[in-house]
Amino acid sequence: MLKTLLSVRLKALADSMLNRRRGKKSGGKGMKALLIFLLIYCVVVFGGMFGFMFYGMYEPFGMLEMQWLYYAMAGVMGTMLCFVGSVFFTQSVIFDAKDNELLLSMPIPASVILGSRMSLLLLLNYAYSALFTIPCGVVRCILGPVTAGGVVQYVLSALLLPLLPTALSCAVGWLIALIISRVRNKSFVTLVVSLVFLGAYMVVCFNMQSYIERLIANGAAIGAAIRRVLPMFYAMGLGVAGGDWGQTALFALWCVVPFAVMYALLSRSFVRIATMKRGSAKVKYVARSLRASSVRWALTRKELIHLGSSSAYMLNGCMGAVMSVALAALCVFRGRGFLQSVANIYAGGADITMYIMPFACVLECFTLAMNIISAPSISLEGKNLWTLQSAPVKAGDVLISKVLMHLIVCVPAALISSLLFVLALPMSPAEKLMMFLLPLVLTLFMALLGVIVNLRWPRFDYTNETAVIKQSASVTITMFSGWGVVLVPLLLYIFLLRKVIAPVTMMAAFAAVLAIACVVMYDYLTHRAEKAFANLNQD
Amino acid sequence: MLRIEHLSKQYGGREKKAVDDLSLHIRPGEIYGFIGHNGAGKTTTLKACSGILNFDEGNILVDGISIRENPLECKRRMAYIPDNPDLYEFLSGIQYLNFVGDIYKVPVGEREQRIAEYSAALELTEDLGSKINSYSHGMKQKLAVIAALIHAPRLLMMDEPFVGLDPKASHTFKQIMRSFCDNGGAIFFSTHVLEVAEKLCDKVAIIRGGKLVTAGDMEAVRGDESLEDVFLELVEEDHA
Repeated sequence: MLKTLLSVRLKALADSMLNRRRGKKSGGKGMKALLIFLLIYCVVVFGGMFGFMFYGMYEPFGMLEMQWLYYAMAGVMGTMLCFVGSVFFTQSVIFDAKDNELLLSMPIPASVILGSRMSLLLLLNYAYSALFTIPCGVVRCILGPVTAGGVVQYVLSALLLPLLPTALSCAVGWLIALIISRVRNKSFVTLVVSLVFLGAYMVVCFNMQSYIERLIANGAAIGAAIRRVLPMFYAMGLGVAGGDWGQTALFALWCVVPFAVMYALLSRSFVRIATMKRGSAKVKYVARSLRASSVRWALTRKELIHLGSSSAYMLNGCMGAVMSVALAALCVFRGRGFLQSVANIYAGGADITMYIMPFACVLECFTLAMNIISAPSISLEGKNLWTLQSAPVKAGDVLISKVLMHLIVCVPAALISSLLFVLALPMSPAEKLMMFLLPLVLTLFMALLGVIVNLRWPRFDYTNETAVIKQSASVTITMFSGWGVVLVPLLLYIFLLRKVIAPVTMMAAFAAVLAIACVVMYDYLTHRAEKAFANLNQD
Repeated sequence: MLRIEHLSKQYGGREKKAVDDLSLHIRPGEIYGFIGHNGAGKTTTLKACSGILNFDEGNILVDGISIRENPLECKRRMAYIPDNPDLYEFLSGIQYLNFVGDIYKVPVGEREQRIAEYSAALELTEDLGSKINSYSHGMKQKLAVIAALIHAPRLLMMDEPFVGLDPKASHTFKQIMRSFCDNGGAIFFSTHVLEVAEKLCDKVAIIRGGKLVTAGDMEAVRGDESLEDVFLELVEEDHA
């Protein structure tokens, strides 16, 4: 039964990723190829990044005779990523799934339903932890001799590792579910809690380089601290590095026991939390004078209220807006050295002294390309699509309202971020202009692109909005396309045009190309998308 | 008011037509019931008439205007209530009604007056400040009814409109429907509750397997029998 439930969840996840629709078997070869390409891209980029990181750690720890710390670091980092990656997902997967009540009405034990949900989280965490455990293992194999026993112990530890963050995510998800069942403004509380986690994660990420440098410089002291505060990772490291099966067994207990305890605890409260009334509190209506708005503004306001009511939508859709402002603010407080430290992590340690302004602009553009507010907005109409399709509104108005929502949220963030960079860094007037213009044009480009991609790859038969916001094809394609659009001219400049034109000229040319693309996309949405919109959800 | 001419619709990948050469004429002042078994093609017909669903053949005219050629003008004259009132759950009741008022460009005074009138009649006034996600199925249905009436349409199309309504709200809604048609409007609605159709409708159409079996004045269709007997006989005849 557990297998059946899990396969249903996995199928739903795969359908969501491949954009398969009801009754249609395949999401198309093009879509599959694109997703495989994106997967390879992620593996190469993240694998390479973390591989270099482990490469830098292996020898210093070996010289300190603290080889265990090398594995323990993989464990700590993998656990952190798993936790942050799955904690936002836990509540929607376990407690808010729309099919909970349907499944509970069937002769299926609640513990089995819970088991299938937790297994899905565990699988997700295997993917996250692999980003660290695989590069860690590969680097170890490259740099030193390996034994069969060591490989077995490492693989076993890597397989056990995600149990711990899954248990932690479930515990936090459970607490959030309990808290929001007792408060009025559920969405706000979820957002605040999520932002606290996200903020903590971002602080750790941006300081990762200095942490690693400090770790290498003070390996002995930090190793002792890890041994004292995080004994599970000490056990993992010692087990693999020293071939100590006793420590590996201890690490197994550290992983299995919390998972089992969490499963037992959640089994007791699963039915109560999953079936509690989800709606907002009742508010007694007091008649007030109503205000009329234009059709386009009424549609845009509806989109904004939807965005504001969903913490998952805000967190995932507006991540880039928060990050762009946070990066610029860090640059103001910590100076240009901060940009160099970012380059050390994400640009292979390139010296950016001569290219401070272009680097800041590229960084801002990369973060703004992470804003995917408009990308799931058509799918999120879901079962309400009939309202717009039966109403006397032009498809162009509906689609542009989604673009406007994206712009209303992201343009202020882009302006603030640009302003902070302009204040923090020395720039010529032309560079200042580009620092504002390029992010703004890119924001418009992302807003338009998201709607067009979603119009092409919509998804309406989901059981939870989070699935569309986090995993749908339109969101993935839009975000990676955005990054690609920033990356291509950057690479073109670095490898071909660096000696031919100045960075600011290249940026102006890029802004012009983006602006032309925006005009073409705007024209499509306002004049030629009527048929595509009418054809939505016709099956 | 609503003229359906040789309407045919086939869903992709299916051999059988969901609606096959259906023709009906709903005149002003008429309450027209549309009955049929599950999967007969009622919802497909209603969705095609409301401009939600594309159709393959035939034409649909609202006040003489083709929905193919001028869908926005047709949609301005009508309102549709689906079988399941899926509304924007993140909006409050009043926000939803104001949104619909904006979409249909209803002057503020008129929308306030209609909201007050219909929400009082359906006893929903006190709940208009609450988010729709806190509403019961019946309350959502009432809100969908108010939203449909807010722009004073001339044609009302509804798919199982009485599902979820409590007896009192159901009674009030029937009075609203009668008054709507007495004032020159027309109603085309599907229902499985044949007693309601029998008492409320001026005309009735029975559909089976996408094809029209019979249509006409209630008395003519029913004869001396109950509508339920007629419906069962026609469906069995068709089976045979």
